[in-house]
This record gives sequence, structure tokens and C-alpha cells, in this order.
Amino acid sequence: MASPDLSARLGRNSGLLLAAGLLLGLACCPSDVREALLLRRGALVHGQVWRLWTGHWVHFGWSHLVWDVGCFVLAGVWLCELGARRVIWQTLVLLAPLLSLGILLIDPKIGAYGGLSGLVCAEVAVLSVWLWRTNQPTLSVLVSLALALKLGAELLTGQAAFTHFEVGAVHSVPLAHQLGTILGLMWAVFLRKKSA
Amino acid sequence: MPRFIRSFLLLALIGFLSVSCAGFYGYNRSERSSSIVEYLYPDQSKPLPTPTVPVLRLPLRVGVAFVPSARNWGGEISEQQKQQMIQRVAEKFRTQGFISHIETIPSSYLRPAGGLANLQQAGRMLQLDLAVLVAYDQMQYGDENLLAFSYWTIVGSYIFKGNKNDTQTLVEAAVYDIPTGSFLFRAPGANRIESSSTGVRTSERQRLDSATSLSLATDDLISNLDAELVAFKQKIKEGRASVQIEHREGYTGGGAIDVGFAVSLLGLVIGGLWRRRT
Repeated sequence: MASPDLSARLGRNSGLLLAAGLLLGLACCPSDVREALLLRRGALVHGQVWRLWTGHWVHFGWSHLVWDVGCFVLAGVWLCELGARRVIWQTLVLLAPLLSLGILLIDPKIGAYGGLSGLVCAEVAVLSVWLWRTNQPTLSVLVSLALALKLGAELLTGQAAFTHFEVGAVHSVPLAHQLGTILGLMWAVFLRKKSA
Repeated sequence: MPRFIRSFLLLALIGFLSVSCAGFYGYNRSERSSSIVEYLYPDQSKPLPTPTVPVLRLPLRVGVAFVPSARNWGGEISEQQKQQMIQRVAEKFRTQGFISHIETIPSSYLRPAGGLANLQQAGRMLQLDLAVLVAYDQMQYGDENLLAFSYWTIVGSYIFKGNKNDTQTLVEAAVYDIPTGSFLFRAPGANRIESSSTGVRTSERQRLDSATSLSLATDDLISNLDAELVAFKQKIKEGRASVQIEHREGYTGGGAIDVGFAVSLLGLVIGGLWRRRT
């Protein structure tokens, strides 16, 4: 039988686990369903605006999905423990379309985009600010450092070009990570000013 | 029979036997090959193209072709063997994520000693970015051992294995950027087969050795190609390859989290939650 502490924790993170479950379920959907949800420039022009939100939920293989969802849940659990559960939903609802539009506007060559990692970067950026706010500067600096190292490595090594996805001809977009981080930081600063 | 006729017949017999012996106890050699250098740069007096940094627009469209040979003394390998070789090389490239399309360039599209212009012409027709040129060089030596003396009896050439055959094959696949003609990387494959055969089965044995050696050299090439592809991608990641990477218009992208970041985040979460509890 689960301890009351564990039950309480699961209760606090139920929304997060539900989101992760939805993502995993989506990965099992037929490819035409995933195709209808992918962020596609041409389809967006024809009024399929839901893709601005759903594009981040589509993944190009199990390893792509597992790493993205794993980091999303890890950062989300920590934010829940810090009492910032609503930030996760704000990330998914408000930052997702902004990130989608940003990717399409800044990179005119991209035709389609999928994957949660941009939003994961936004979530981690919010987390680092939240840790600072809750008087945990060491952890805040370490989280920021991990994120900065990832972004720096992508810029320096050109990993973007040859990141291997299970589906051929899909390429990593470091722009999504950079933009996600900037949006996350801006959102965290906005929330801080609002609460002040 | 007059004495001079007997002497003449004796001399004729000695001469015939000497020639026969030399004929039996000899060696033969055949060579068949196709050369990438002879195909791309047939005119040695012309200066080589100025080296430029190729721009690779991902995902790439790649063509695989067998280099046509300008000259052959031992007969060329069959069209079926060529197709098998390039299909196997194409299969290796098909699994690469940065390639969107791969096809084999029909042999009729490439002329012997056609040069870079011929390759670029085929590339434009098939809308290709890269060409994987496959070439080979095969030497076959045939020697005879002491058992070859039994061939004088005619029956011996059906029974005793008096012939020693040696087949050496070298194959290579070289990857070129079609618009600039820049060389990107290559992979070799090699094999050597030794066998013995009876006098009447030598040609058949050599044909069999030729096919087997070519197939085994291709196995070697495929395994080396794997390593060269990994090394080439690594060079690009580290910025050591003299190529420029761009994305093609309308490409599909995905956000991907790498293992290092995921593990460091896990460590920080565990540390953070543990600290919070204590």
C-alpha cells in the first residue's frame, strides 16, 4: 500500500503524469494522426492553428520521445515541489504557440517541426529562476549551467545537422532550444514582476 | 625410311614436346579494373578544378554508380555483379538520417573517361547532391605445379589439379560532391583467394574465384564504409571537415534532448529534492 506521503506526491504531480501519459499515448497513434498534429508551415497557412500547440507533442521515434518526456517530467516534478505547478500549464498553453511562431518566423527554411524539447528548455529556464526566488542560488546556478552547456555545445559542435532520429531526414533544431530558453526566462521574469 | 627423314622426325618430335612442355608449365595473368581517377580526370594535361568548400544541403540526395572502365584485358565483370555491388553500397547509405533519397545511377548514364562534366550531367538529370563512385581492380594469376606434367597424358588434365590460381581484388567507394566535384571521403575493401584446379576446369575455377573474391571484397568495403561514415560525421561535428552544412528549403526539424543534459538534470532534481527533504 502506498504511503500517505507518496500518495500526496502523486496527487500533486497527477497533472504532469497525465500529460506524460498523453504524450506516450500519442506516440502509439497511427502516423496520419501524428501528421495531422505536426507543426507544418503550409497547413498553418490554411487555418490549421491547433498545430501551434500540438506540434510540440509529436515525436519522431521512441528515443526522441523518451528523452523529451523524461526531462519534461523531471523539471515538472521539481517545479511542483516548489509550488509552481501552474507554470507547467502556462508553458504548455501560452509559451507553446509563441515558440512555434518564433521557430517558423526565424527559420524560413523549416517546413515542419515536432518535439517537446523547446518547451523543456523553457520549463528548465523557469525552474532556474524559481530556484533563485526560493533562496536556492547554488541549485539555480547549476541548473542554468547545465542548460547553458547544452545550448553552447549545440552551437559549437554543429550537432544539429547530424543528430540521429529514428525517422530519416529529420534534423535537430537548436533554435527551438535557444528560443524556448529565452521565452522561459522572459515568462519567469514577467511572473516575478507580476507577483511583486 | 631414309636416315635423314628419321632424323628430321626425331627433331620435330623433340621440338613439339619442348613447346608443349613450355605451354603446360607456364603462367597466365589477367586484369580487369575501373578507375575513379581515370574516369573523373581522363585528360592529364588539363588542370585540376580549383578546390572549393562544398555546401551540403540537408537532407541529401545521393546517387551510387559503378565507374565505367576505359580498358580491360581480362574481360569486365558482369552487369549483375555490378548491380549487386552498388545495391549493397546504396543500402549502407539508406540508413543514414541525413539522406532523404538514394538511387543507383544507371551505367548507361556514365561514359568511360567521361570526366566531371559527365558526372555533373547525370547528377543534374537525377537531381543529386552527392555521388558515391564504386570502382574495382582485380588481378588473376594462374601458375602450374608439377602435377601439370600429367596433362601430357590428356586424361591427366581431367584428373590432377596441376593449376594454381591466385585472385586479388581491391574495391573502393569514393564520395564526391557533384556541383563542385570535391572529394569528401572514401572506403576501401580488399580480398585475396588462392585455389587449385584441373587443366580443363581452370577457366571455370577462375570465374568462380573472381565472383567470390569480388563479393568478399565488397563485404570488407561495407564494413569500412560504416566506419568512414561515422568518422566523416564526427569530423563535421567537430568542424574539421571542409564542408558547409545548410538545411534544404522545407526540411523537417525536431527538438531533441541529449543524454548528457537529461542525466545532469536528473542528478540536480534528485539533489534538489533530497536537500529539500533534509
